[in-house]
This record gives sequence, C-alpha cells and structure tokens, in this order.
Amino acid sequence: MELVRKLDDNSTVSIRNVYRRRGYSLVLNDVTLDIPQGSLTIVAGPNGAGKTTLLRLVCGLIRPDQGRIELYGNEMKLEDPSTRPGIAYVGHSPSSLPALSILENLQLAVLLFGVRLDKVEVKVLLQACGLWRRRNDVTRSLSRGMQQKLELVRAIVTRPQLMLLDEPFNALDDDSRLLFQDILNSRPSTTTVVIATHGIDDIKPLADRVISMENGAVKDDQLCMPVKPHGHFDRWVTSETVVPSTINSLKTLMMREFRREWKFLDAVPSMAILGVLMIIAFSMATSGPVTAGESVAVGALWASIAFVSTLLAVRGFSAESDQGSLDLLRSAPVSSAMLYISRWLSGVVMLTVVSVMMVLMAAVVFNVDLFRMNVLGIVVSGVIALSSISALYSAISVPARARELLAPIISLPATLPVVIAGSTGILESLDIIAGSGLPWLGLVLAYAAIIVSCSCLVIGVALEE
Amino acid sequence: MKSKYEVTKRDILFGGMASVGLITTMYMALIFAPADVVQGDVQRVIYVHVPTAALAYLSFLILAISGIGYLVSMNMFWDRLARSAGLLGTIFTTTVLISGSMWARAIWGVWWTWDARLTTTLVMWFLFLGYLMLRGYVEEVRRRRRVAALMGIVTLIIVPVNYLSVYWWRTLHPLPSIAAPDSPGLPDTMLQTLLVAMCSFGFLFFVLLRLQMKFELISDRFNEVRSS
Repeated sequence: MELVRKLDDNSTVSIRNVYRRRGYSLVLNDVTLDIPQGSLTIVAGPNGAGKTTLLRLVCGLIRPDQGRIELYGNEMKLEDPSTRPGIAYVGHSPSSLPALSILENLQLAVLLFGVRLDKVEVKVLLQACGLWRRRNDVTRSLSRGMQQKLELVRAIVTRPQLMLLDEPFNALDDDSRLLFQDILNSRPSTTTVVIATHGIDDIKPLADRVISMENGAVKDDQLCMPVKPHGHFDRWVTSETVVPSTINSLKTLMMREFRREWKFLDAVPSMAILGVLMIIAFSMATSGPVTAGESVAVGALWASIAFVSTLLAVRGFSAESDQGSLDLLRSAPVSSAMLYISRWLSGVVMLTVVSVMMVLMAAVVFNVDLFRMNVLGIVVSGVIALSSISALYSAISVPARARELLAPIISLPATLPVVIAGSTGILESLDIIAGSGLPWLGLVLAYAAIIVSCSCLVIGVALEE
Repeated sequence: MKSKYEVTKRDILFGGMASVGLITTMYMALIFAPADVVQGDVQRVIYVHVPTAALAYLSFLILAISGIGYLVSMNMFWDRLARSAGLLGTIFTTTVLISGSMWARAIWGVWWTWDARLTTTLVMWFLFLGYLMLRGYVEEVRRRRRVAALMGIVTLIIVPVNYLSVYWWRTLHPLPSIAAPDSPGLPDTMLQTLLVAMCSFGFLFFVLLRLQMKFELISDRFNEVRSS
C-alpha cells in the first residue's frame, strides 16, 4: 500500500476531469485518476463501462472532449507523437499484417517504435508461448489465440514504458494466461501496465490497484498489495523511451507497405489489369471506319489512370482500418503527416509502375508515339498528384461504409484538374495543340504540392476517431 | 418566449417575401420580359437556370466555410449549416441540370452533350451526392461531422473549374454575357427580370436554409434525447 502511495507522486498517467462522448452518449463522465509509474492497474467494469475508451484516450487514439491527460508530467497531444512515447497498446482485434510472418511483423513493429529487435528476447518469448515453430508462418494462418499471443509479444518487444492492454487474456488458454501474467509480473520497475477487463479474478493477485468503472465514471478506486510480488520471466529488456527519427519512420512505413504489397500482390496487379482493360475498351469503342486520333488516346489514357488511382483510395488507410492495423500505426510515435507521406510515396511508386504499363498499352493499341520524355514526365507528375489525392481520400473514407462507391465520387473534383492539365500537357507535347507541355507539368506538380501540404495539415483530423 | 425549435414569425415573414418574389419573377419572366429574338420563348429558362446555378455555387462556398468553421471551433452550428447547404446544393444543382437539359434540347437538339460546362456541372451534382452519401455512410456522428467538414472544404475546388470551363475549352455553352464588359449584354427588361429572379431565388434559398437548419437542430436534439 505504501509503495503505491509513494509512487503516486511520480505518475506515468494523470487523467484530469476527462469527458468523452461517443455519438450522443456520454462514455466517460468526469474521470480523474493517476496511474503511478511501475504499477499494474486493473480497470474493471461491465461492458459499456468506458474501459476501452479510457485506454484509447491514454494511448492517444482519441482525444477527450473536455479535460486533460498528462503522460510523464507533460500534456498529451494527439498531433505530437513526442508527447506520447513508449506506449504499447493491445486492443480487441489483432493489429499484425496478415500477409506477413510472425517475425516480419515483430521486426516492423520494433522499427516503428524506434527500438532494436533483440533476437534472443524474441526467441525466448516466442518459445515460451509456443509460437517459435510458427515464426515464419503468415499471421493469417494463426488461430485467434495465437494472434493474441503475438499481440502481447509485440507489445513487450517494443520495450514500452506504458502498456495498455484491453482484455488481453480473452482468447488465451489457461497455460498461456498464466504465462503472460507471469511475464507481466516480471516487468521492469519502470514499466507501467494498465489492463482493462471485466473479469478480474485471475489477475487481481498481481494488481497494485483496481479501478472499477460504471457508466463512464470511476465507481471505486482500490489500492492493493500484489500477492505475487515478482514473476520468474527474466528476459524483459528495458531501454530509454525513444521517438524514432522522421527518416527512419518513413523508411519503416514504406518498407511495411512494399512488403505487404509484395506478399499480398493486391494493388499493382489489380490496378494494372483494370487500367489495361480500360484502354483496350476505349480503343475498341473508338475503332471503326475512322481511326481514333491522338486526342482520344490521351483522353483514354488519363481517364484510365485517374480511374485506377481510385483503387488506391479504396485500399490505403481503409484497408489498414479493416485489418485492425491502423490502431498500431496511430499508437506508434509517428505523426499522422508521416503516415500520409509514406502512403502517398508508396502510392506514387505503385501507380508509376502501373501507368508506364498503361502508356505502353495506349501507344500500341492507339498507334501513337507516347514514349517521349516529356510525355512520361507529365504522366509521372500526374501520378504524383493523383496518389496524393488517393491517400487523402483513403483517410477520409476510413469510417464510411460502401467506400468502393464513395471513393471515386468524392475524389472526382480533386482528380479532374490533374486529368485536364495532364491531357492538355501531353497533347502539347505531341504537337497536336500549340505549346511545349512543360507549363502543365509544373502546374500539376504545384497542384500536388498544395494537396500534399494541405493533407499533412488535415490528415490527423481525418484519421482521428 | 418562442423556442429556438419553433417556426417563428420572422420565418413566416421571410417565407412570405420569398413567395411574393417568386410570383413576381414568374410574372416578369413570362409576361414582362420579351421573348428572345433568336431562341424564342425557351430562352425564358434563363430566369431559373442562372439563379439556381449561382445558388449551387453559393452552397459549395457555404460547405467550405462551414467545414473550416466546424474544424476550428467544433461548434455544432457549422455542422448544421453544412448539412443544410449540402441538401439545398443538391436540389439547386439538380434544378440547374434539368433546366439546362430542357434548354439544350430546344436549342442544340440534344438533351445532353459532353460539353465542358455540362460535364463539370454533373461532377458538381455527383459531389453533392457524394457529400450526402458520406454523411449517411459514417455511423459515428462526431467522425461523420469531421470527415464531412474536410470533404466540404475539398469540394470547393470544383467551383472555379466549373466556372472557368467555358474559357478553358471550346464549348457549346455560352460565355457569361451579363457581367462581361465588352459584351452587348441583355436588354434592360431581361436584365431587370433576371435580377428580380436572382433576388427571389436568393431569398428562397435563405428561407429554406433557415428552416432546414431548424430541422437539423430538432433532429440533433431528438437523437440526443433518444440516446440519453
């Protein structure tokens, strides 16, 4: 009891008069509490008590409507990742990428959190929880319980100062539950753990404190003396709280994106096939006694590129959200702008590959010489702009149903200027209309710069829950 | 004291003024203004087509301003304003498309052609539709308001594209002739009728916006009460 009281002066988390609504309902109602450093706190309560919302607030996934949250004595700001370092969040659904193996997922997670992967620690943890022999298997082949174990291992290897675990033992068998309880109980003295659960019997012996919640308010706050003072797991590695550099974060996020694409092969092939089919369809529709001219070829090319770019909008952040991995990205010490830029740049690479194929196809079926440097330059600049639009709209459509329908409609106005400028630029480059085409290239790049800059400013708003 | 949810005397007064304006417009458009020498009576569509087009633009502007207002202040007023403008924008853009299509049939001989102005107007209509769909497809209300505000800001891009389309491309759609300095413009009677039509439709828009905002306020209150 005294230990906890002493630690109270050195809180990891301070929550002050926090209110939060979900829709029209009040989910958290004037919550005030401190979570001492090094403690294991259980947040208990029935379904709908506000436990998950509380954890997501502390993690920085959502912001309070009123009140203030401090981490390590500094006010937490969603838009500033440096104010929420060293947090590991394990939510209800798995956050690993299903197409990657256990080891790949762990490797990417530690890079995202700016720490180095300790291979021995990983081996010991995976062996202890029975995942070592499946380490090279893709995570979609794992059972729900195994995925949950992976989530917990992922949280541990990122060496957090604060672990926020939402119903962490739900899908686990008895042995695994005991194992992870022992692991959590062996944590370093500086690591704080908060567990939200509706069944506290199993873990109460480990807890320093039990907070009971009901209808969004703290009903009871009980200090305890842990029955089991320390566990037996000796592979916890501690490290200083770090915020990865911008370049490293960007590199990791893009590597993550390309690895996923390499394994899944869902974006580039589908965009390429759809784009090529569209060009063939345009060519067939405009063939006949009068051969289609260069204007039709350029129009068909741009219509196809713009159309396939909407597939990026459907995929991007929305796919991350569907897989549950968006929470992992947003809880990492990475800014929303960086998430956007990585998505945009990886989109540029993928869409460029697809567009070059489409230029080739258009050149062949329309019999037009499109392989000129200035034509390709304009296509690439258009791709840069279209990809920036797709990344923004993929964020806007994250919470929406029927995204496949919405994305092309809502991205239309932003896409249209690119199509117009791109088409005119290529027609000028082909000497079909007067001009060199270069001013259009500059215009498209300037437009892309405006979209990217504005998106970096607003992307946090779009992704925030 | 009247509740803010009720239709006030001022609403009725504004509604009455809009009705008088529209009746006056109808009289002036059908009787006062002469028929066009070239196009004949069908040119009278202009007295609906131009004001509704201007109000569709205005709806986009309100969407963008209220989007910024909501994101900056998180005040529900802006969200209600955006919702109302989105709905009215859809109605007015539909009117533009229908009236324009009727006019095109009489003058160009086709209901529709892929002309730059027509195409960008259709895009505008899809945008309003997309905006309303986005609002309908996002379950969580706060998130819905936020992404709709963002969408409202971004959609403003279409307005200059639509307006300038007749200058950028060779189109069938005529260039703006009323405000252009070197244009012969409209005869006085036609110009006066058009100005009255603009004012009347503007008033109608304003009244509908007020009433729709009240409806949205009641709707919000109803949802609050239901969930509490």
